[in-house]
Amino acid sequence: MPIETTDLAPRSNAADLETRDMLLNIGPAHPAMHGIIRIVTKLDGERIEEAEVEIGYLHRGFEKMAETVDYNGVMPYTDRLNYVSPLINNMGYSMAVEKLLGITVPERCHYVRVIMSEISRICDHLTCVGASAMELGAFTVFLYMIKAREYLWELVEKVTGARMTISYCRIGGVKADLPADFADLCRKAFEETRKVLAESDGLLTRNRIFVDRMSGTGIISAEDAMAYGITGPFLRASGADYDVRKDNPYAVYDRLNFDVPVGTRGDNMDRYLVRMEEMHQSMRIVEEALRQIPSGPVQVDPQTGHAIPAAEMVDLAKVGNIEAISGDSAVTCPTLEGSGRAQHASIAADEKRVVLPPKEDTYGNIEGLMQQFKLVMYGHGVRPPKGEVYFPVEGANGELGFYVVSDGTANPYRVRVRPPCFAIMSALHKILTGDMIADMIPTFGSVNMIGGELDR
Amino acid sequence: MNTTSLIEAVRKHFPQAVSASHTFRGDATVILRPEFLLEVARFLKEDSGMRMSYLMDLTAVDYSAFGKRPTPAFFASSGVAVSPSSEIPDENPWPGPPGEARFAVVYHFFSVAHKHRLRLVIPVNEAAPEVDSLASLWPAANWLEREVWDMFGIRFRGHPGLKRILMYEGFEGHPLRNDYPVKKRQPLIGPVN
Amino acid sequence: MEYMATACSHYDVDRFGAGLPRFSPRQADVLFVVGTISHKMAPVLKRIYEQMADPKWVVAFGVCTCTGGFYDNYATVMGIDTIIPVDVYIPGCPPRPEMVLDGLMKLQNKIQHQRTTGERAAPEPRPEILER
Repeated sequence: MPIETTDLAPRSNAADLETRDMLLNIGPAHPAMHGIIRIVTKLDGERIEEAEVEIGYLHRGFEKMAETVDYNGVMPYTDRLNYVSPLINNMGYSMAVEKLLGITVPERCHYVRVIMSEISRICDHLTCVGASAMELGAFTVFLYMIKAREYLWELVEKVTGARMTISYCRIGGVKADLPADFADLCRKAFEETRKVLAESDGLLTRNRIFVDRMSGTGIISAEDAMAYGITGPFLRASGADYDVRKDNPYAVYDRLNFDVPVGTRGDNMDRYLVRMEEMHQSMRIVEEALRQIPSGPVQVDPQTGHAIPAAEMVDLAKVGNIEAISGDSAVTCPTLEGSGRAQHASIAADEKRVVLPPKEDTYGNIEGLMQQFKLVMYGHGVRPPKGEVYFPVEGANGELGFYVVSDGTANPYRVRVRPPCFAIMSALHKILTGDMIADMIPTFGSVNMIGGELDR
Repeated sequence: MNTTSLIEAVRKHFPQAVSASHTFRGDATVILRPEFLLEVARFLKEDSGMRMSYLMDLTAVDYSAFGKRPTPAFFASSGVAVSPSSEIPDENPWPGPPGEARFAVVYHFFSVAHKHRLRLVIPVNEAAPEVDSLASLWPAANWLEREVWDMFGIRFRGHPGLKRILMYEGFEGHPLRNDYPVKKRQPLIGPVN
Repeated sequence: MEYMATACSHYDVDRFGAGLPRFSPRQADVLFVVGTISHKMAPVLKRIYEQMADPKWVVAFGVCTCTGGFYDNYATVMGIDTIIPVDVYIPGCPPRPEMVLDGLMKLQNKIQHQRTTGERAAPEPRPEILER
């Protein structure tokens, strides 16, 4: 039976079909993208001709708030900048103010900060790779990576007391030392993380769909990336080897052996591979730092008898298991209770005008009380000399710089954050041009846009 | 190049452009006259000794309240001195805000090849807050200058499309200026508090 | 971030029946507002709320959505209940996953005891300008 021809038969010469560009608004609320962003694309069929990116939906006035509180009070605001790797922001800000003050912290404190920063960096890369895998359909990988992130967050919680917004660093030191069993906990958490990374690698790296969607899309050359101010894994995937930890080393990075993965093609696949390898390198840094760290004095536990750690007691109470603990007394971990005097010297600078004294001194003698008074009471506080500094650290997305101007009073005069993903987002309209609309998903996922950092 | 030789190189090439320089805390800083900005920036980008491949950051500071922020009432009435801590030793004190101008636009440059950094400071008057745009040399300047316009109200001559980036259309004023109150909200919908 | 953590294996919000996040408001019953809402985003939030079909409920997740948190400045909406009605407030910055699950259970209880017309009590009146 012959097939009837219809009026809809295709023309022999498709070139004389007239087409019109379509404007598609991928608005602030949309599926499959993390972060609030608005991208207006001009489409020719499925190909993006032009794109315009609009940001600012999470602008919370960090820089204005920083002028209203004192120097240590800015710390919680810095947590919420790049809220997946808050310890790096904390470290950057406190090192900038310490540079302004001209003080140095003890070596052990540097090592502690480096260890916590690298753990934060692993959490950030896990979230980024997991979320972009989920957007491409690989939901299992997302669940595995968030599982690994939970183990790391439990580790962070044992050290700092909170999972995500930790306010761990202080001007002149950190809040508390690492717990005594940190090396063991860390080893267990890394074992789990390595298992997860191996599984995810097996699921994604040679997966036909993943490779086809990620290779060849979202390409940017190294010169273009540098012209736009892009740094971090995004730049390194394009072939330029710039890492603040190697080129402008700070803290103790110059004593640690690690490699910085550099890609070649600058597409999404290279960024994924660079991030996966960076996670392995971060674990390597932490393990080496734990070997090199100068030992702090060990806190001797004075209590004997039936005592359980306070965190365990809280966990049991949370699930309602009151009977098991009603007869117990809690041992509050000395590292989370304002640091014992013995450990204080190794985690905080020896500078009375900047660092709070150990609690035994605050309550015990008059000099400690005066030191506490001069730092905490309204109108007093950390008083850097008048001046301006810029201090860059390697954030998870690139160079995170803090520019702090002080006028000698207790509040900062101006705190400026140089956000790494701001530069990447400013280049996004150029990266998206020429790709298909479906390629926008992996490209945007590999940007790792964090709204808190982009809009501050 | 180290910090002093960076400043020397800029001074040598543009002796009339540099009005001051310092190396407070090891950061090489040069204070320029506004009309020379584009030439100096081009020199920084193209000269083989400088090779500033990155415009890392572009921001502004409003110096109108510098040294004039009110002391808390407790101290004013009780007479307790709250002078800045001058006991922290400082052999290289900061010279202070640049000139009499209200604003200063601050540029941070970095070179991947030579691994050195430089800061440029351009004083900007309140009466005519305008500076040349660097968007033709570094595309990074495009969004950074839009943010400075949004937050401070400083215009950039030659910028391809200067509009607000973090705040919304209909917002009046420039939030990071010292005279904009912190809590002054201009809601699009909903109550003012 | 904490919503992601609650939705995944460790804390698993799926066992409470909330396992299907749908990014389209037309198909959703509950709107979780996670994270600070700025004044730029406020009209968008109101439009999403209006796009949802009845019956609908709103959960304010995190202290920035409940009251604005410590971002008391020109850019932040001091509590989304100034714009849309809220059923459950989950404070915390960020709230622990256990708190989120508790909030979800409270919402389930509330729905259980709600009358079929879906009426809710009027929100408390707020003063025009909040004094410090």
